[in-house]
Amino acid sequence: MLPYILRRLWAGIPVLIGVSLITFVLMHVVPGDPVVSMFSKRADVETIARIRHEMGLDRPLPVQYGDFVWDAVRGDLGSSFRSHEPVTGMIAHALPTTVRLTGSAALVMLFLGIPAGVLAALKRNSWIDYMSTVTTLSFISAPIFWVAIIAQIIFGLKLGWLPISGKDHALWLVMPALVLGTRYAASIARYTRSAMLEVLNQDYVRTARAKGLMERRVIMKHALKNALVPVLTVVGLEIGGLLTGSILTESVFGLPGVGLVTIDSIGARDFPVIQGTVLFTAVIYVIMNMLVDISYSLVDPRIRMS
Amino acid sequence: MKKYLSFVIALLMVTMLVSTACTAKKVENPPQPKAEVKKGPNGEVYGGTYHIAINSEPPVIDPQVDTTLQVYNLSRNIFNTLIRYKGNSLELEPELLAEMPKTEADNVTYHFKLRNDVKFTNGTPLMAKDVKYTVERMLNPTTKAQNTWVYEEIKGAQDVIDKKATELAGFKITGDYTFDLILERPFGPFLSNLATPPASIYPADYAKQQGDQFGRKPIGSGPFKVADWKANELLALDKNADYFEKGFPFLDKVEYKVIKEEATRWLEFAKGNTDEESIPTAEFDAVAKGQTGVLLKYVALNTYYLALNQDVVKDKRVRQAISMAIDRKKILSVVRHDQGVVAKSFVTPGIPGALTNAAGFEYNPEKAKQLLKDAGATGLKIEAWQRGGDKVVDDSLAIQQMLKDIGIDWTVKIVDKATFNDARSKGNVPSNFGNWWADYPDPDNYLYTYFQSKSSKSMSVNYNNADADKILADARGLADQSKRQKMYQDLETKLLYDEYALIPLFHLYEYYAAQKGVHGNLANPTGVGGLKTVWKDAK
Repeated sequence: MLPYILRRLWAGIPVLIGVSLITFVLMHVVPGDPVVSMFSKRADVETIARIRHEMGLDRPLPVQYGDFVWDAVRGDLGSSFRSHEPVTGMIAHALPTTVRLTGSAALVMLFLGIPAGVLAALKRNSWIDYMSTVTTLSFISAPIFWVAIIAQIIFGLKLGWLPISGKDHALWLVMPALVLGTRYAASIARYTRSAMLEVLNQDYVRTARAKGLMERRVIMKHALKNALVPVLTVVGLEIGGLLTGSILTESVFGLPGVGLVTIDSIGARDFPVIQGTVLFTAVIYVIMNMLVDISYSLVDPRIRMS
Repeated sequence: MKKYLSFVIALLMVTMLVSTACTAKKVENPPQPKAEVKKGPNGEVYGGTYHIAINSEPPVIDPQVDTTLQVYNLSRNIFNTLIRYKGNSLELEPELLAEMPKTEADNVTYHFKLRNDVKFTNGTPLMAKDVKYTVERMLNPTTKAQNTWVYEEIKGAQDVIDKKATELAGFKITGDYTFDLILERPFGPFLSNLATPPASIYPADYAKQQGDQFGRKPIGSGPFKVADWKANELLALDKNADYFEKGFPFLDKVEYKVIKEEATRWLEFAKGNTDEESIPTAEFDAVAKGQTGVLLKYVALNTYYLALNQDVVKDKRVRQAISMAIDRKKILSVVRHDQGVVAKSFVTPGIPGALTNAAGFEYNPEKAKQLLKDAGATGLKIEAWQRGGDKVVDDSLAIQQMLKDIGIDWTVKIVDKATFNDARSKGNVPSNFGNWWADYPDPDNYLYTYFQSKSSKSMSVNYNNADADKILADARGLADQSKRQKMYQDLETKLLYDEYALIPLFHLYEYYAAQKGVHGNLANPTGVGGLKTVWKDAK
């Protein structure tokens, strides 16, 4: 397995170079100067030019990009234009919050989505299936922002069961993780239902039942295990969605994660922070996809890592 | 299957609860024994924590390099200035000074005497060397300060900015607690500049040692000091027990919690978790009726206007027509719920030298159409750039409809702040519904910024007139205040009522909500204020 992992990581390097280059180009193509955006009211040309020079922004773009890559290779993502803090430190500080949020949301996604999909497939065309369809479509269609506000009003403001925002309460993670996770659980439930329906009609499922196996064993061992292969592909893609969704969730719930750092840096055109957080997210995405690929072989032994 | 499902759900809940419980550092404070309430001379209650939600954390608390109102307000809690505005008035009084500076007859030399009982919160006494370092730090290009305008009139300032000198020629230390400042030329608003938050005084040795990290670990002599700063989460200030103004502040702690979303911030306020909050448009009536918190209002030094880039709208008859087509009273009433007054001037009333006796701008769409006809401006299209926000859009829509009625297609383009600022600084914003909040209460702050040729370009007004430049430069240096004010009034009359170089619309009051039981908030018309005088009812 180790050679496979190393090969996959090696193959991720061009992806990261591509991401960093595209981000760099986009930052400089999109209107908005980091120095000018620091000024809340007025900005005279001389002051802007002076600060741009001090920040090294008047150097040729290839030189700036080259410096970034060289520093990044050595583990230095530069310092924020605004706070002068090292970007790696900013990410390290924000990371635990994002990991807890996306990790918990992923659990919600898997443990709600897969059982709901299985149940809907087993009870096809029953009221359970219809309810599942309506619920999942509602969660897929409703913007996370809107669901979050409604949840905050009901469980935070009216009932007072959970904190409205922030991290200074023992149950801070429950509402954000459920809001983010259910959105993606809904997608997973839809895919699981389809995959299960397809598998349940296969000959080997009929054979298993004919052998007199218990229904639970037929579903869990024969049907679900085979249905999970296409679902895992979707899970891999949805992890990206979770990372994107966490930006919005952190923003609504006031959580100090990587998403909040990213949003603030984009608004302020804080180039080193934008570059650093995007690159970091790309690394996470590459690793998560690799883990999903590895998990294929665990679900289906016929798939070899070659 | 049911059994499996229950197991999975139970597992999920346990995982999440364990995850949160294991990581939560602070749950609840243990109950404290009830202590006797300490009160001030006017019944003010000492103690308590004041909670504020902010939409983003300040990258640094260094008002030399950060020009946001948020940092200015924080600065009033952490730092002090040599001079300040008295309470909620525009009158100047000494803060770190023992007395107001004495001015020589030449109007360029000022003698300053510091209080000798002020200490920074790291225990070092505040002395003249700290003031000198602070001023030179601002002008030193390596600081990357944006507010150099505060000290640019001091002799030798440009040499420091241009790296031709490291010491400021116009700053003479005359004793441990005394110093002189010499200006290049007389400059009327100089003392007002020293009362702005960017003129906050830093401890020299500590600031030098911290370098560009000073803004993340700020130390001042103000009523509060930074106790804890968790990035993007919480900024906690503790009372400065050795504050030089005895009896202040009343609060023990101030906590700023970062909440990006306006809706979430409002829910926290409605729940009683924060003590003050700006009011979302949809919630204004509920606050006004006392259903949520208490409505607080103050008169602010602002002017909302329509700017027309002179490179785009060259004919003054067209600018006059646009002014005549806008029913200011109606916008103020319908969009702004009468929360302000119609503008007759650009310089906000209340500022000495404002154009208070002007007739006001006529609303006459028929005459506006005639003016457009005379100017041959038919089928005119003008693009307006706006920086988002619900109120901005509503105002712009009203203006758009009114201009459409006289045949002008005024299209509104919403852009983000960085894009807007970039285009505006280059003189490229064709038109904009904007506002100006005074940095200091002087006509110079308005008229020089918007109509001095070079500055006007960076505001995308692009007014370029050598005579106006001369008047603005002369007025700055004039010691005779009544003559100076007359110069500004004459210039403003010409700019607004003859050339329609800018179209003032209204001045808005500022509102916000506070919890019942919050007292002592002295909102200054400049829009900047600290929490030194704020206190809360005892619980």
